[in-house]
Amino acid sequence: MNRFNLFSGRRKKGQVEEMVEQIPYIILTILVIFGIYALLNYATNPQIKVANVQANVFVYRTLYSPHSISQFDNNTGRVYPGIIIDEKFTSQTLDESMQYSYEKQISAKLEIYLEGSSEPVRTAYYNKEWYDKLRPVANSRFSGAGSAQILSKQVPIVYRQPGADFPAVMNFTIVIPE
Amino acid sequence: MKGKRGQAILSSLIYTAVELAIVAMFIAAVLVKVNSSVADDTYQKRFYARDLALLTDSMMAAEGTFQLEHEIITQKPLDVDVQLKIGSIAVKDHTNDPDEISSETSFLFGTNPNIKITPSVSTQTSTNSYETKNGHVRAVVLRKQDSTIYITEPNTVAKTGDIELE
Repeated sequence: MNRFNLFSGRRKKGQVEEMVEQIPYIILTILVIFGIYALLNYATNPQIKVANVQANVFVYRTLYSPHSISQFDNNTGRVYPGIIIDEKFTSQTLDESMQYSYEKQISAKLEIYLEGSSEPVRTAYYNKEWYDKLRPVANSRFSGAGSAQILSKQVPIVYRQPGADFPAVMNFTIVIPE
Repeated sequence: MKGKRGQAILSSLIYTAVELAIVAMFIAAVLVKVNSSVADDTYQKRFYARDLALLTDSMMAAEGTFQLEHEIITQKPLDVDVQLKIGSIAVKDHTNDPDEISSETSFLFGTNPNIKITPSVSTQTSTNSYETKNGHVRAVVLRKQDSTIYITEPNTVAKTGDIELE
């Protein structure tokens, strides 16, 4: 009779207790299995991290593009990558030189330090809005989706102001979201 | 006493059945996942979309007329269409039916108002793909001419990733 009582709604107190006792074990099994599956999913999910290459391409594009901050000779069509023109070194020039359809794709701060100086003489931003938003996220220790990473590069340059050239270093602080 | 033992056995049986069902579902899910991971070519598509997009990004900064032949080398033939869009490179499974939805992976590059992007696509043909002892090779050629970037087919001058300067 007992085996029929279980499904007929006329369960005895002991039967119910036996069933309830098993619930934590079933939940534990489910949790462990989900954990193993999540690890397996993470291990087999192909991830290709190209942030370093992206940062390098950004730096080279900023320096080598005729439409960016380096000196460009209109007559010869030649770019002088190491010579940064003071009047071209603006956030507007940088923003116009590269446009991504996904606005968070990359953002950066560019600082020019004169030789021997610890304070930047000029600062410009590429995609300042998202640089300001993502920089605190990148500074946090969180990683994975939604986070960001900071990459720094330093390039020796000639900083050209009207009538004078100065040896300097340009510091790139690039923020790339994950 | 006999009733209590019966209750315990029934409870254990139900618990075991539930556990077995969960484990069976888990094994099935793992098999499906591993199978799809092995057969999947998503990794290759993601890799080449990124590679070609970053290459296009670099081309935006270069002056003059030139073309770059980029080779996609895979163990087995990868029949994909490589599509140059305004602001991105997309790699997707080849399909003859335009209405058919095929899985696509893409990566962005930065555009510039002074450089025109001509949307173009490269499909696999006998002239841009061949077999070697290292695997299957598929060539994709990006060309920059008159401040315009577009995808074209390889010619006999540019080979194996060489840069052709004109």
